[in-house]
Amino acid sequence: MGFYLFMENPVVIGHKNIILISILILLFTFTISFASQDIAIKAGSIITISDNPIENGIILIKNGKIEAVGENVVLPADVRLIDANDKFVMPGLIDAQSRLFVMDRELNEGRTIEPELNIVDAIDPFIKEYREVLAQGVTAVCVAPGSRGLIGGRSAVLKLNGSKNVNKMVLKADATVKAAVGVSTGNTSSSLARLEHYSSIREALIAAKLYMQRKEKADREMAEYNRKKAEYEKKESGKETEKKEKPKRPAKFRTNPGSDVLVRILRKEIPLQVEAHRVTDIINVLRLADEFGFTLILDKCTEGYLIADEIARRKVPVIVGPVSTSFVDIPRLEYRNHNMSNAAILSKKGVKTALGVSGRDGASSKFITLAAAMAAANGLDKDAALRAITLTPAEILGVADRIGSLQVGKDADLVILNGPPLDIRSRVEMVMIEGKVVFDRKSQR
Amino acid sequence: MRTCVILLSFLLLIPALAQDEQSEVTAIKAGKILTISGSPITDGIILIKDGKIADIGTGIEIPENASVINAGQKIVMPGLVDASAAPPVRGDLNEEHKEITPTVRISTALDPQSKVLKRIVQTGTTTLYVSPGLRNVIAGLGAVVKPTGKIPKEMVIKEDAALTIVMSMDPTYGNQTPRSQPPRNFYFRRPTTRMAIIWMLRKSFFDAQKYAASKEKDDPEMQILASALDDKIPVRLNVRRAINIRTALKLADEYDFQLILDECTEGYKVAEEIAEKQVPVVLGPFYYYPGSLGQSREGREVNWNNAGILTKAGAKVALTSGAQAQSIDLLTAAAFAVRHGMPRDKALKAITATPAEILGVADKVGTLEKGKDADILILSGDPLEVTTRIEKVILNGKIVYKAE
Amino acid sequence: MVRAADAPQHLAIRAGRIWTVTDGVIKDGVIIIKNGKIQAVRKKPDVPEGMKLLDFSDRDVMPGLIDAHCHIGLSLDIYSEIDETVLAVTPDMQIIDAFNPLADDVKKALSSGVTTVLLAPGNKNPVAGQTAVVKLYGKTTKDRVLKRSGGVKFSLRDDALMSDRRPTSRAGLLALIREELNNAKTHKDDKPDLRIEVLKSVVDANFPAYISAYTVDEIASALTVIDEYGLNAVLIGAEEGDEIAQLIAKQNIPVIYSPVLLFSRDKDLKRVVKMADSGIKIAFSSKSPRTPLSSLRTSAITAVKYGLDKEVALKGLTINAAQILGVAKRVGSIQRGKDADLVIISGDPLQPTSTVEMVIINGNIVYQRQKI
Repeated sequence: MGFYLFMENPVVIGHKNIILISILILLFTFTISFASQDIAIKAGSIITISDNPIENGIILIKNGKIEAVGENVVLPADVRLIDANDKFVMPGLIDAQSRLFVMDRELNEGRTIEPELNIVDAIDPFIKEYREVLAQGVTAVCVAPGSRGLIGGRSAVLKLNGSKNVNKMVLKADATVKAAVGVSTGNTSSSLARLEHYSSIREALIAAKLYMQRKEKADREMAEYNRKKAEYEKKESGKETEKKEKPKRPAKFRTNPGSDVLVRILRKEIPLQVEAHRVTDIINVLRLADEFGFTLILDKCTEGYLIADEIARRKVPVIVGPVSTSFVDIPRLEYRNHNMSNAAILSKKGVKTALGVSGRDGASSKFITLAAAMAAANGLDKDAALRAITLTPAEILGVADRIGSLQVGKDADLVILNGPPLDIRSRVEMVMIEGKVVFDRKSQR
Repeated sequence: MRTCVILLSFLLLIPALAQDEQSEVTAIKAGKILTISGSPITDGIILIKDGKIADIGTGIEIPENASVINAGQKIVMPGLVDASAAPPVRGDLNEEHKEITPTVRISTALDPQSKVLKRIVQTGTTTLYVSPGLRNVIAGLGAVVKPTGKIPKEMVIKEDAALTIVMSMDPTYGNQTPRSQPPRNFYFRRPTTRMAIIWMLRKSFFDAQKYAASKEKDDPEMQILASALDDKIPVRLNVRRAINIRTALKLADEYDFQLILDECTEGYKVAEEIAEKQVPVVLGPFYYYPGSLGQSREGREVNWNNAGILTKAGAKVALTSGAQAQSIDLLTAAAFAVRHGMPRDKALKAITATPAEILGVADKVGTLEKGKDADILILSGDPLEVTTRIEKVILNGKIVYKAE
Repeated sequence: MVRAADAPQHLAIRAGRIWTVTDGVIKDGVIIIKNGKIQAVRKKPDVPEGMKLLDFSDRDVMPGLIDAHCHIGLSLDIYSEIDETVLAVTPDMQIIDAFNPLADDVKKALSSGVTTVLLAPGNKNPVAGQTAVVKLYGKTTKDRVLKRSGGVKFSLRDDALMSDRRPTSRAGLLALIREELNNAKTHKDDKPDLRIEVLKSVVDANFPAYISAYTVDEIASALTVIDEYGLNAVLIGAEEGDEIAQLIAKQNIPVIYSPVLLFSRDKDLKRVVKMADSGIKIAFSSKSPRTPLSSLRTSAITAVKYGLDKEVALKGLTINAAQILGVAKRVGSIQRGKDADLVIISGDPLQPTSTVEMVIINGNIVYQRQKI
């Protein structure tokens, strides 16, 4: 800038102007370098989740990704140093059963099969509660349609990066398709009604199978037609005047968005996340998965502890929630045999177990650490509890390549705490998403 | 840490202690002050101290450390008084288990966090009358409140300000079961006709007279009715049709109670009689189109000149929002009344001094006079111009609203 | 769950930390129990000869928790039968008559560490009935029932408004309550009336009034009525009480707060803290089945997270509740002479990672955690 001025106005620049210009240059270069500056966090204890904790280590962040993490990390010359020497650092927390960013009324359509509905269309980035959730270290949430729809629609994993552009919030769209069986309305649950749930879902999946076969056939016929058409046109333009039949165009195959989604489920491209509470419902869902071969995730799985072996045998992952019925409104029938040791029992039997808050509204996601601590109090190993709110949900939801642990190559989504994460006295000091500070306790007053 | 806090607070207290000797004074300077009680004051000053008007006039000396609100060439008038305001009450206004419920005090159901209070303040109302609902023949006691305070008690400036009695058809609604259904609940009862409403009123008054004459003292319901008959509590009678207005006037003569006519839609038909008997009228919102049904199915003939006609006949008229949250605001209602025949000065009085008198709080509010509450509006122009904005609302000497 | 054994005559519990609540934390101490009562609380780990010893040297011991307002054991189904709504005023109803000590939810609740509860009718009657204070276990009624009739429950909630019986409006609700209290005051003794007798003891004899009020206007109405009639009162819920905390503190009215986890906004989670800071005596409640008894400790823990002093939180689970309920002579702290109601816990009672390992009521082991 200074040079420009110099060239423009070949006037003698006095002392004052030089100082002003130098300051401007300094600021300019400072801001430029600041934006793309590497960040190094020196931490007393780094909880990577994927490996053993690292004492007095360093995390190096470059372009929003974790460049290095370990005890001896060579720092580049120009790095912004964050001193967390007496603090704990862990990956950003994930609430896999969140209602954040969606107004309650918008979570459910009717009791129907609507796999084409997409939760992303219900996201309101201007909802302010997310700040309180972020301040408790939650950097990503999975939001799904509610419990009323038999197949309610597609869920999405969102980051709490404060963007007002929904597309920039979405880490993964179509993470799962949400279904729910055996969920009562109020205090009653009709057995006949539940039977109807299963027959409806089965019907829909069978219809999707047929649809898939017909679509594949139509695709083949279309490919065949195109081949013949190309041949025909080639011959037409050639010298031979053979009487050739113009190939007939096959009937147009009418696609159906809902069926398309179900086909993706059948092809194991998207998992089916089924909310099931009672033993009978869980067993029925396991049988459905056997029958149709889709990738199953058990959601809530309230009585799962009673048939943990069955679930483990089939290697079906489970998202357990709520850890305590205090998180939900008036406990319904399906929570009758709720057991706070559910996650612990499932985990001990080898079931891949994640924890969600499954609270009464969006802001409830802030209780994810409390949920993990309560699960730990009821038998879940402390490390497993921390993993259940970071890496495990990331794996189950298919975003473990990006988040869930502090490993080289993953997004720099992390939380700095002033004490062990499960200790009630610990406070979140800073939260980072992709290397950007999105929450800093020091600047909150 | 704690000792630091204690020391700091001590240090901060010192200037505060010194300041106690002279309490805060606020001065408002304005191009035109409409006192309502007398002629407007040009380039006047109002001094406010402890929430009251300490002095008002021209050439008044402003104390040194007074905070000054300089309203330039703006117009200042008293805070408005709504003699039938949208109730800042939670839930149902009607206690419907029987028709005669004199002991129901709507002040016990006030909700200081009610959302209607915000709009009430923004439209310049600083004193309001809250009444029980109109579903009962004798509905209960209303109160005069201000839109301020954290708890109901802090809002009330006059408890038991009037007894609400309803002679319109509202008490008959819902008193019949649908056809072919057995009468199953307490809603199935008298009255279903006008005849029964009047009968219930007469019976109640009769019983009250008997009670007052006897030596008994322990029936709270009768106690209140007796007080009303004894002129201790005014009676707010809700009437719409002319026939009911006439009946009301007759009853007031017969039983000798202090009558206030509430809503009075067809008042224009009976204007001379009302004026002659010197019965004050609290008008409901009268912008319904002539012939429209408005809130009730009761047929009555709306006439937009109602306020004008009543005023010209010599009746005391207050303009109100008719206990509805969505009514047009009082200033607009006054302008509307002027458009339809009400003299300007009477229209302004009808939303300030007149309702204050009718409500029995004229010693505190309604005009800008020394000794009264400092409830003041600062307007961008003539109050009766629709394009005028309320710039500031001052309640008990504090600014509670500032236009953005 | 271990079935309650016959109470050993003498029992000693050694613990790494004893949270007495009233006399601080004793490290490596011993509690001596005899005939279901705490005979001694010793500051040395030595155990007298011949006593059965429960060695929890690496664990903490605290007093049995007290749930200051719940509806446990009162129902046949998941929804409790706690409201008799046909009549609006039923002060003669005693909730103890609906309590089933062998109910499933009572047995299940033993693992929560709660040993004493206040049972109350619901919020659907303006004058609902008489509360009771019971233990979750007792060999005899005498062991189990601390107060057959502890006070009268009043409700200023919207739930008490019905469309088919009086009152239908808030103003009507308050008129009704004043009417009943006035009638009780002026009632002449010549006509015996059980209902009026009960209310008379509330207005004249300081029989406690438990008043349900959540919003600011409900609490303000409660405070006015309490002042008007000179009631010995406790507020139940008082969710928005922080907004008029000074007024509540000035009238010295204790508060049995709603379950803290019913809230999720920071602003709401801090309310109980603000009230405690204003000097109001707070006890925690579960309102079971609204939230489970196990959430009682979680309520206190969450309050600590949002700023509540740890000591105050611990008191809110124990001695405060005992004092408010009028049973502090028997429960609420670990002191000589009180009932041996104890909870052995794996760590600091106010850490969410701590587990209840064992629960003792009247010297009987009523719960022992099974390893998974």
